[in-house]
Amino acid sequence: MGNKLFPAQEIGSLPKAPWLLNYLRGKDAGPSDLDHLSKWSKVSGFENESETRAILTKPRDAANQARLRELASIFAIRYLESAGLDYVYDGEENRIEMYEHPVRNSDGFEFYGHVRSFDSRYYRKAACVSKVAFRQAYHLNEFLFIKQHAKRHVKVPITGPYTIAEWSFNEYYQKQRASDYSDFRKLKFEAKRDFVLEVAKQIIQPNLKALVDAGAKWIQVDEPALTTKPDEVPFFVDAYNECTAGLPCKLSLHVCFSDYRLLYPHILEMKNCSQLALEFANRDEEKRSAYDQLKLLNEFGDKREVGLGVADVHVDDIESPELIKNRIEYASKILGDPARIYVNPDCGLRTRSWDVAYEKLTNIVKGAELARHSFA
Amino acid sequence: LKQYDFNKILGCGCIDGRNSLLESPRELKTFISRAKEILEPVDIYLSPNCDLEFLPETVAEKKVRLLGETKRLVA
Repeated sequence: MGNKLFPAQEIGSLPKAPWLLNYLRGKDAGPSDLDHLSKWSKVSGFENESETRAILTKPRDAANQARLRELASIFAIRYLESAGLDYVYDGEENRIEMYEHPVRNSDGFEFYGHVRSFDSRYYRKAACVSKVAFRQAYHLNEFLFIKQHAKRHVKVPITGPYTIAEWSFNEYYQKQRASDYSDFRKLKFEAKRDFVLEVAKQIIQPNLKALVDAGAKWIQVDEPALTTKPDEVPFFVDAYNECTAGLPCKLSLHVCFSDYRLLYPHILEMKNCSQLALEFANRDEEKRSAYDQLKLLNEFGDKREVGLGVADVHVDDIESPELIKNRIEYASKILGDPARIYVNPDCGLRTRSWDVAYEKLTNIVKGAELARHSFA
Repeated sequence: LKQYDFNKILGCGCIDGRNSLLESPRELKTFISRAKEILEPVDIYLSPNCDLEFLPETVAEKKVRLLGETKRLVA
């Protein structure tokens, strides 16, 4: 980014374009789908509006479906670019979601059905039933396409090994160790370590390598589950080092909705990681106390960049540019070095509407611009 | 249990509600026989170690059936 302070980046997901979803589900595009397409095409300068509109009336054969998926990808790239972000992806328009996508495209897993994640939310949780194995580089084509079409820098988000293991049932690796039941906790703990390391070695490493070989300059490892079992954070660190060693690429870690103290001191041992992208805005209040957790980095001498979460992804209230500027300045003061700060939403924006997400993103960009002036 | 002179009914969580891996009746039998060394069988209630809502429905059903089979095996 040269010397520009506070570059703006997305963290991952956007909602799926409604016209894409309806087409894939066999529903005809209604007026609201067409309004969505036309409104955001105008706003973002999406160059393929008429082609998209034409496909929506065509038969749902494989070629049309594949092309519409590509168009949705470009559509999301333009949306993020026009919001003013410096680093973009495609809002993961063509991934199932962050867990199911990698698991469905790797070997060793079986899906039994839905399981509650929280409140009334359910997801399809897989069980690891045999040794996990690489089947294909499941983000490679997506990345190559985005790289070809993006006009800004590209950052690839990828689900990390700990989250994949933590969100799955561990049948296979527990069975492998199941000779001694005298200490069930220990058995589960050690089987989990085996599982996390294997996911890193067998699945994540070849995926990362494929992306880097294809020209990825920056990959963000998403680990929302990282602090679920605090005594297992070291498993992740070992797994991370295992699958990122020697990769000539910028790598960063995204963790959210967690007590970041639980990450320390373990994550200091992560060798090839130059940024921590963290969520703060949702727990912030007038005194900016949410951002006080950044003092942890100072406490442990952690000099990495910070992807600063400055917009809450779970509410529709729009943060003003002034509020965002204020958060950036507060964080800069704590870290003592504004050059280490990137700005982003707390997490992926997939649960917001396209309108709300856009306002949040544009205000992040405006807030960063205001902060840049005050540091100039 | 021995050490504290336990004299209540024990809800014995012998089925893992957090893993879809099915316990084998043999390992359950071994586990329960250890409880039987200390408690009367009528004071041992076989149960999962937590509720089953975090398992897929099909797996939860298998686990409940397994509890029934285990009872027949050890009774």
